Amino acid sequence: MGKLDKFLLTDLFKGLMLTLKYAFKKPITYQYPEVRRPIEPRYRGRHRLTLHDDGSVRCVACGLCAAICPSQCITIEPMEGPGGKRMPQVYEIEIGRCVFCGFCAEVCPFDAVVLTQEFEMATTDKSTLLFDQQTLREKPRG
Amino acid sequence: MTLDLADILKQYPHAGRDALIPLLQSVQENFGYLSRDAVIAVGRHLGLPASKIYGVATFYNQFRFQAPGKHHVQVCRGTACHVKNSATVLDAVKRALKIEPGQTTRDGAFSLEVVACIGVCGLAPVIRVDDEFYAGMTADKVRKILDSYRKKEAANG
Amino acid sequence: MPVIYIDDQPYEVAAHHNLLHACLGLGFDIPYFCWHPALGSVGACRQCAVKVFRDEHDRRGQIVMSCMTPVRDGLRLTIDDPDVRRFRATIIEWLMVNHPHDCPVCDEGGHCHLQDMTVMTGHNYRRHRFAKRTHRNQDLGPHIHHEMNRCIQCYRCVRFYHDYAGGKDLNVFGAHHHVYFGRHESGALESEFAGNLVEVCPTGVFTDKPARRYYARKWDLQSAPSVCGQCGVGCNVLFNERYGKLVRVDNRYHYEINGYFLCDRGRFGHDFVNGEERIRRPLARESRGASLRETSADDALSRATQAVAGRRVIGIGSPRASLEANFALRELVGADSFYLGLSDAEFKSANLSLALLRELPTASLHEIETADAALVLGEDLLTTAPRMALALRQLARRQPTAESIVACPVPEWNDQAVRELVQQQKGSLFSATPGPTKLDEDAAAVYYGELDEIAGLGLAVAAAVDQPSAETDSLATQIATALRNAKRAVIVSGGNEAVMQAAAAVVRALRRAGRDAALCLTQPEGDTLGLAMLGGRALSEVVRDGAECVIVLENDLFARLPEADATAFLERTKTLIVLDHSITRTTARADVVLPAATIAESTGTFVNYEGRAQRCFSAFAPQPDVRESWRWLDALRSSLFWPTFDDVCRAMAQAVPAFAKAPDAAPSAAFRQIGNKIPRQSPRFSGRTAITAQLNVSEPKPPDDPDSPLAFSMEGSREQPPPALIARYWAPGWNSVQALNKFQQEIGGPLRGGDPGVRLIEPEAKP
Repeated sequence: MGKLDKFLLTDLFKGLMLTLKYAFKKPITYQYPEVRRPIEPRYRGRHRLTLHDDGSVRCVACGLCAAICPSQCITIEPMEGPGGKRMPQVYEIEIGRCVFCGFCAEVCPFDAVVLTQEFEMATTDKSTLLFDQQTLREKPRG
Repeated sequence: MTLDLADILKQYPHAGRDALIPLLQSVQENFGYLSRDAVIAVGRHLGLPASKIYGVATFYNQFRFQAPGKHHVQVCRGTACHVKNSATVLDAVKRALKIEPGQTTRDGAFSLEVVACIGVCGLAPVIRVDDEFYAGMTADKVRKILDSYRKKEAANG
Repeated sequence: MPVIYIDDQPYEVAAHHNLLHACLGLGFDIPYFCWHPALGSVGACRQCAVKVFRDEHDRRGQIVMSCMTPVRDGLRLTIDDPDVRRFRATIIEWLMVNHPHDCPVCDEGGHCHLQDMTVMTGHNYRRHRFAKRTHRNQDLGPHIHHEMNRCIQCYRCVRFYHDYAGGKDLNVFGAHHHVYFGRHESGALESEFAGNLVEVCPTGVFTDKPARRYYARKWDLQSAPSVCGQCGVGCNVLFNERYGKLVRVDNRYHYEINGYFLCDRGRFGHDFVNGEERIRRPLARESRGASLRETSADDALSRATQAVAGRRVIGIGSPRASLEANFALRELVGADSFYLGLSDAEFKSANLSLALLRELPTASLHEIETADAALVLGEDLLTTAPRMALALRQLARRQPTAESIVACPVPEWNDQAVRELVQQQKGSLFSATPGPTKLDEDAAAVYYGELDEIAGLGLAVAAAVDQPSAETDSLATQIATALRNAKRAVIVSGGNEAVMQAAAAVVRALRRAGRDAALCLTQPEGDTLGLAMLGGRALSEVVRDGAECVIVLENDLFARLPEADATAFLERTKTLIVLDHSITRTTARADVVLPAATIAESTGTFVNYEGRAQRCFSAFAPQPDVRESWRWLDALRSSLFWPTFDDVCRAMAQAVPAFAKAPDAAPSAAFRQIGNKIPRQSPRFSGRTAITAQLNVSEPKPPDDPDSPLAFSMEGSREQPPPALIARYWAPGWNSVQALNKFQQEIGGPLRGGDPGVRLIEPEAKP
């Protein structure tokens, strides 16, 4: 770098030029949460338990998702539902430990657990990170 | 019904388990089928558990466990009839009577049996109702024939 | 020993086996369904095909069923040949045509032999697109759940239930595509061994009905090796736990004792562990007449300590508590004040058993199965020691086989051929009982009489053994001749003193005649013989003696003493301290009740009918206020003497010479495998971090186990543990109980590293 460049603050102006250039361009950042970024179709977010048309869970509590889960954050307690049908009595995902690998959805023989595109699970209370069956049945926001 | 059960058992005094099949055959000849009570009585006579006798009897197609109906329908499933699509015929009979082979309709009018070959392969596919043979069966014909028997029944009383 | 060549590699194998048995023993994986080491081969499933070559130049070979091919010297075969693999894949695809593929809702899923074999064979895509045949299920009673659609027609259930165990009410019905296994009509299964169908069935047709209530996969279970305490046989079991509940009891293989099978009492009789009647908090009452109230452990202990201090305290032991618990009580109260918690009859019979076992050799169940003649004197074994009755039935089936095979050389494993050969012949099994028993139909001759008549028969047999006479018409002479002709004879008795003495007389007579004879004496409970070895006073004396303070260990006095005596004795007692796991009439009268851990939650030693000390380990940590009895009793003393199980066990071995070898029954808590403890949970154990998340999101520390080399964790050694510590049967690719093949020295033989347990009684007379 020459002494002249240093004296004339060339680099400073170069930088300011770049800033000026972008000042007239369309902004790249999203004004989250007012503006939401489009999510890729295969994004793996919060889990959801899918339902039959009659509103019952498709899950038969076979335990494969709990077995495959690398962070061991799924707890299932099975029970016998109406008509001898097997269903989960307890289906809990401790989302704070989940690594969103999607193995549970992949291993499920009935597509009963799927990963949605919802990612907004931040909380100030760790105990709300335990998602029970009722929470997991709900349709995700957004 | 010519003999009652006690008489049949009397014909096989001191019989062992080797007498089981002849005994069952004569029970069926006399009663037309093996009732639960008959099976248990035979078991007591031979010193065999009921499960064993049912095990042997269900192995063979010749034994029935429900009283035969007024009209006994036999569907031939021999080779010639099979080639001429007797499977459809059997299916039609099953649908028309709403029973499986070996069973009897609730009103006791018909019973169904599948047989290996009636011996009139030239007329395949064949069904036999009581002593009457019906040749070249199709699903439609089956329904008509069975209906005619039903009508006859209704006319008689 | 013959040499066989598998893919041109020579292997030495035993001569009397079939190829499947030999190859599995060498560690090769061949899929199979109908074959079972205890049931032999019938060649029904066509799954174990291998290719056999005529000589080393033959490259085309021939496909044979390995289970039906005897081993011969120089046999050349290949297991992994494209033709055979295709054959096996076709067979399993065909078997799976009608299988409902309902693994997610099937209770067998995760420990299913059919799953394992399907994966092993490589059949992973179903081409059959048509309707499947369906069956109606039956209600088979409270223990077995029936789901017939899953059946693959291997016939194992009938071969076990009907042929092996002698059950009458389960059979196979129908033919070709509509084969049905079940009863002739719905109803509870009658056999005492029906529970084994759960393990014998390679798929989910017969499943454990009580375990269905808890719906747990094998990989989610926390399990530990233990011993069944329901009778004196001491069958080895595995207790399996999930969410603090005992889910299932499985057979734990022991070559000398239970082998592959358990009785239903052992398999389904441990529900009390989860029972409503369990005592889970210490109870105490302020004064006589006040009601029992829950209290803290500290409070209960201080009350008990006060009551014990400075007074004459008597202790009443129990045959259902471990040796250590009984010993701890004896140490607390002193040997003079220790009473065996046995009824009068039990006390006499246990002491006589001990004396006789010290004099004469006894036989394990395996030795009973392989003996040549047996005489049962006075015992209805199907109620007092069911597994022993099953062993005697095997003797009755095997012995005529052994004779027929000499005349017509059929391999013994060829089950169908052997049964054709034997027909209705019965072995030299004789039974003398007060009334008809289920064992009668297997016996060559049966005698019914009063107990003194049975004792008389026993003495007559002994006399006839001593002086063989020509006349053979009397029953005693007939039995004596059969016993004298046998290479090894077993006399089974128990309960009544005179009958036991008569049985011993027969054994003595046979031994005088130079025959190898053994005496087996049944014991009513898991630790009856151990209690007799520990030694103590008779319970009837307690009524006379009485004391201010009485400690009752896991016992119900009303079951041991006459009603009036028990009431009178408890009336006189000022302070009654009871340790028990469930409510009894005795706990209802107690002043302090300390909740004891059940056998599934405690570590301890039990002595079975042959004097074999066996260790049981806790499958799960008991609830906070529940403790093992020896821990409570140790805490009642002024200071803690025995912080861990090993301390109390070693102290017992030093104090009681008879138990010197008891610590050797299993490795001590210091045992480590490559520096690690042995995990009670499988590596696949699910939900570990989240299982208590509803209480606290932080994962809790697993409970410590200072008493055993097992850990309440999924972490630890992945190696095959020593036999006394096997917590589950699993091997890569083998999730079902059939993984047991990988744990045995030889298929159907002892476990690798020797069978667990140690015999404590050395008889004077050598076998």
